[in-house]
Amino acid sequence: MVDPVDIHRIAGAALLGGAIILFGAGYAILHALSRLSGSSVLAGFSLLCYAALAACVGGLAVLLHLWGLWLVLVALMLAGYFIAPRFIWRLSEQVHEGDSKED
Amino acid sequence: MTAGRVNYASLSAGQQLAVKYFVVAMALFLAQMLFGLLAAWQFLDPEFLFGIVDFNVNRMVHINAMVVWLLYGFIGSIFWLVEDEAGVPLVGLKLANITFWVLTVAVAIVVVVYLVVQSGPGDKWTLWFINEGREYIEAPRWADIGIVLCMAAIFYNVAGTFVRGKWSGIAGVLVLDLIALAGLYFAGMFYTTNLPLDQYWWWWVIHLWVEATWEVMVGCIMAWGLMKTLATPRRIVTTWLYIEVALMFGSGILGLGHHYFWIGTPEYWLGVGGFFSALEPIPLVAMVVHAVYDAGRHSFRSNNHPALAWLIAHAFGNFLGAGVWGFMQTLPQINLYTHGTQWSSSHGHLAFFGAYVTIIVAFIYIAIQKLRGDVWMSAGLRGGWRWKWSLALLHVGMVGMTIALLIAGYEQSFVERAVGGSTWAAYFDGQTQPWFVEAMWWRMGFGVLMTAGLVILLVDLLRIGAGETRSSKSLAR
Amino acid sequence: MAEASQDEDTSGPEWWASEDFWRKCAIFVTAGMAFVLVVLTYHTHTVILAGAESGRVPAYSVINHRIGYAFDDDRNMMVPVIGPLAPLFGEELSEDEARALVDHGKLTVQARNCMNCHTLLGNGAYYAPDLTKAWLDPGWGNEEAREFLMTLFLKDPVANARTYGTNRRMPNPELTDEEVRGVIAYLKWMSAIDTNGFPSGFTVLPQGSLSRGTES
Repeated sequence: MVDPVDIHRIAGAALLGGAIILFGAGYAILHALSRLSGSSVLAGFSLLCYAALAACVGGLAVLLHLWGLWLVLVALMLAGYFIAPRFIWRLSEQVHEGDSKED
Repeated sequence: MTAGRVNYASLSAGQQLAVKYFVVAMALFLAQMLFGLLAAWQFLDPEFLFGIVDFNVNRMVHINAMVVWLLYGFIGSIFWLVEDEAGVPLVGLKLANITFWVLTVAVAIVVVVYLVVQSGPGDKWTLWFINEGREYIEAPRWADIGIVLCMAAIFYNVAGTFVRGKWSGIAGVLVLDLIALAGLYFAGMFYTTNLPLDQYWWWWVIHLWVEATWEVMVGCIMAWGLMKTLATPRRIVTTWLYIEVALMFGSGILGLGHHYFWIGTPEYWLGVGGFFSALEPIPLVAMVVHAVYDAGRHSFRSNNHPALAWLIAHAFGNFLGAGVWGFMQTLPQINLYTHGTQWSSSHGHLAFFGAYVTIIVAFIYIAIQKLRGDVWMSAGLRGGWRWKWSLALLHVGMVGMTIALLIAGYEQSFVERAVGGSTWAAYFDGQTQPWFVEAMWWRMGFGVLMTAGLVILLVDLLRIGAGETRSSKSLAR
Repeated sequence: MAEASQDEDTSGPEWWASEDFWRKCAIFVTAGMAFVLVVLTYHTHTVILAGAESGRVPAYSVINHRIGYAFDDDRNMMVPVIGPLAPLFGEELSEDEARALVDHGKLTVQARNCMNCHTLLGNGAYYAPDLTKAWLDPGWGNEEAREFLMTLFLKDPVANARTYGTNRRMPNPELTDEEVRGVIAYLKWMSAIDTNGFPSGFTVLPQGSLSRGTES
């Protein structure tokens, strides 16, 4: 069920894991900033961050042998990190709908 | 009301009680730090206090002081806001005060017994009256029962005050969360010979407190704080509180599975734990978007700079400590080697600090501002260097310590677990590698920096706003 | 919660961003996850009872047997192996007697606060070695010397310290003879718990055959 990491790849796998979260945050922040400013340059950079994230997820899948059922997890991470920030942005807009009147 | 003077009488009864909780919390924070230093020094000089106050005693006081002071911080914050939120005074002020003293005396007795008696014969009597010997919840059974009774009294006061006054979304979440918090404690209040069963329920208390109910409690406190300090409409903070509950409990409850990889529990926990642990950071990352949205839309001005700075630290700390440091080693394919090493210690330090210490310090600054008659706490504050230096030293110290422990953790995982196969000889081989020893020295140094930061923080909490005559209200106009 | 409908009449948020929707979400998600956890907990409970059919957590009388730890190709991990009779201290115990002895050992380990230096199944503090496979550790030399050396060490760990160059000695927990026996029984039983391959790559001390032969 679990095929552990090669012992010489422990550090690499850990760094990739950390990088996934960091790029995830980078993608989220840049996406939000691009929406805020309407800048397509920032939007481009946010996608670049996401591409780096996807590459790290791929690398992690290779190092941690995430095959078989674990591929579902890889797919969910790729989808989740992509969609969640966009969803939260729309949610922010919607929840704050009519906010200015109440201020 | 004069700005700058301590004006205890101007606080509501619940807020006066909160101040007492905060005072004890900060005293215990200092104790946590000092016993942490002793334990860290013993790594470098094992003969230090050997046979007098051994490592296990120092380490126990270190982690217990942390759990208790964070709880005191939460309880204090709740008492601070409950009357305001419910719109009526506390239902049982006298009971609330008695509870505070009973709880505090009990904590003091437990610590004295830890330090003086330390351990006892291998029987139930020891577990009832000296030490239960289970990491984080070492408190003897009599104290467990006392804690539950005190929590019940606190619950009565909080829920009763809302019942008499008015309910709100925040009140609802808070009350349900308190029930869960107290209820989960029962999971750690029994003895069994079966170690896997023991550790199974032990994690219910530790994990479901720290990664579920505490998070939601922070959410409640933040929701109220945002409403008060930034005048965010109630509908919005309440909706976001519900969103947070859904995300936190959605990923955090079954995230419990990452503690069930190697304790004798069935193999499916490798899948459940790995799966939910990988999803746990997604809400953390996504919430960054909301913060950017709010900051961008509102260009708000804060009238309490130290509190705002600690809140920003909270956002980063939670994300780095729980998110990045957690995900480095949470999947079973890698956790097989990192489990039970300094890696866990690295993650634990940054996550607890980032997620909880920061938020409680921020709240205490909010409370102090009111205590000092809504004193000015923004730019050009008299003695403003203190909060900045304490913030900087505490953070540099914590991050440095965490990185040192991470290096030690990697070294230990590799030398002891991966190459050496976890025999005792492999363990000691790992502990004597230059990288490990060096990392322990760096950890000690950064720990001293942190302690210096804490001392300045404590002085600042006592002195901030003194001699300042401007009122924070002047900013609003 | 009365104000939930307060601004319905103005241009409020879409249904999927409304307070009411997320309140329900929070309740259902929490209830759903808690339900799954309770179901899994119930199942895990039946599986990890000592001596349950799954064999994950052995019966306490396993201390009457030789215990090994070897790689299992099917499960792709190391698993404990229960070998032939090799009673602890040469005395075969009934299940009840074995349980009482292990119980005394576990109480002693808790009462002396061992977990704030050592780890048990990897949980605890990191000042001293993990005890999960302490019974099988090659540090005891061989099977014949093990019980004697463990007893000697636990009776006076300061005098018999082997610190491997760290100078970290175990303080004397001043155990009674009965407590020492209990602790050793507890460690032997612990080493037979199926921990999904943790620790991996472990080397077991030299001991006799693990084949049960015609015995069972």
